[in-house]
Amino acid sequence: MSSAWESLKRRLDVLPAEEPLGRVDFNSGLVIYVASIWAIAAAAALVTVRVPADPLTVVLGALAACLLSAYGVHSLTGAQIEFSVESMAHLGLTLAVGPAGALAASIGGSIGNSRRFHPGWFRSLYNTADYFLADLAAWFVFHAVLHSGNDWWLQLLAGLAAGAAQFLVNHLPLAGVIRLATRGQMGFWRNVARTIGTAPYFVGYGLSADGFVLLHRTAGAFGFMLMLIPLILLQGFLVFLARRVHTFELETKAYQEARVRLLQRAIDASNEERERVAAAIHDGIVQDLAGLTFSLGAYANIEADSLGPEDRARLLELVSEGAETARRATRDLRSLIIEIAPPKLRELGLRPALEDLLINLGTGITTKLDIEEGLILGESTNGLLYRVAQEAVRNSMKYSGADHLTVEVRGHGGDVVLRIVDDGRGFDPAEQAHRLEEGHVGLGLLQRTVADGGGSLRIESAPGRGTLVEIRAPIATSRNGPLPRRTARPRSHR
Amino acid sequence: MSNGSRIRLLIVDDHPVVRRGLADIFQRTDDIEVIGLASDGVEAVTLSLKHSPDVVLMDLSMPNMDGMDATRFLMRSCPDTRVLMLTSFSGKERVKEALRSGAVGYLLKDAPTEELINGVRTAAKSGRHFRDID
Repeated sequence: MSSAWESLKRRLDVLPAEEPLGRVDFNSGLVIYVASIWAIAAAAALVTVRVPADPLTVVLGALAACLLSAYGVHSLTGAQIEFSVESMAHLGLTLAVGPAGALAASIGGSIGNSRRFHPGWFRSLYNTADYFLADLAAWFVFHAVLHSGNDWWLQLLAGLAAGAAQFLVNHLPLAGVIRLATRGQMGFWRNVARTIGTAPYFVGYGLSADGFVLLHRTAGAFGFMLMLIPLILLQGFLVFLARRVHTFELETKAYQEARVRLLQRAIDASNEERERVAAAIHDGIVQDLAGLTFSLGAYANIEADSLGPEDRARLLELVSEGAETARRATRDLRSLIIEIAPPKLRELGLRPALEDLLINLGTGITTKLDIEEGLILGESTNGLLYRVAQEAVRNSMKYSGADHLTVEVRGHGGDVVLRIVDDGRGFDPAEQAHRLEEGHVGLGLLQRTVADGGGSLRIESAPGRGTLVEIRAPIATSRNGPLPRRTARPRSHR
Repeated sequence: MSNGSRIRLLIVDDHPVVRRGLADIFQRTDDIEVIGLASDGVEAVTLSLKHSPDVVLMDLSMPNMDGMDATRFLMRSCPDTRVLMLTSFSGKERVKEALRSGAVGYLLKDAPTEELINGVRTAAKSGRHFRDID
């Protein structure tokens, strides 16, 4: 039982935190104003409140006002609703049992209110007095209307008029107190205008009050409680709705944050890539060409007669060195171009692009390419496989120190599977996951690239046991629809 | 530095093709003698201490010890040696920092041959606080 209550309480507390009340600016105007309202309320209470004929209903009503106030919904994620079921219980209790009900409901409501907003004794006392006066005004209006007759429509009208009176007397002094407490920053009329937006609620207050009066008249405390049921349900529905809206908002926020993070990572990765290309150009090609230019410049614009035998020997040497340097620069540029945008992939397909990728690795590693014959892949699948292969091969060259590297592409049902296997030093996947959490990209970026392309990525590695990177992707992109695969006997490459 | 005799030059660059190219240029001049080639800052300092060159033509970015650190070291250990920075970029901050480390000036790697030769000549003639190479 108690755990059920705890769970319910926890659920209720999931509601968005209410904005804390601003600081009260205690000034003489405010103190005089509030003190007068206390005095009026106290005097009115002394004059009107009598020992209630039905104490059970009074206690139940006060309790209802307290709970409905404590678990009210002030706003739906930023949209002010200020719809208080508490006001209905207030009015119902007041009209059913008189000024004693008004006092009990005001005190109960204030206690519930303190749980939500922690307003402090000054505000709590003001709220109690204000609410009591509003309820009392409603009670007067109700009886003034009923005084003229006992018709059903007068009954209805009396409830509506009481609702309107409660609404007005509750909100108008409040606008005044807010103006004083904020030293005019929240003007009186601004608050009145804000209140007018919620004015139609008084119809609901009045009608439910009529219900309370009727049910209480016919069935006493039991009737009163019967009328509380729909109010509690209404409040519960509002709480439920507010929680849903709040959860949705949290999810939306989390989603947006994730998007921003992902975008930032993509930008970082792209910057990293640009810096890598720039460094490769600077450290290789630029130095080669600068050096070659120096040498050529040294022998430019000179007369053939002035060349000594040493010069001639150096010139001949320079020609072959220059050819080698220019060749190296061309090769470097070519491999950079392939890294930036592989032209063969677009024009010729995956095999020549992968062949190029492996040939450009240099002589330190033995590579093998094995592509199933007759595999026709969609353009975006080709691109995806190539990008992953490129990244995996680059990682392998950078970290693994492998002697052998195999790239294998095979059809597998409606999927294509690309495997990159090396015999290098490998790594500890747990450590890799840790690095990924710390914001290192690399393999994590691969994972997302593949997931974005509708595929899946598997990486298997252990220290000293090499690395396997496996991508599984649909053979054709869904946009183009599945392409029929030519049936041909798989033949291994090389 | 002594007037009339040849300028003794040390070339420092981690890239062999650049070293060779610079050597080609200065070996073909009458008034400049290449007394050594160094491939990083450490080697540059070692060779400078051994040969006391008049001018060191120093690449900015190198492994082990970069041009800036090597220059700072030379400022203390070889007070008569002038350091001329060589760089691929004319980025203001880098150049400023290079000059603060004690270099008398800087040359870009795409400078014409004549500018390189004149730069070394001017550096050899300059005092320690000479800045303007062009």
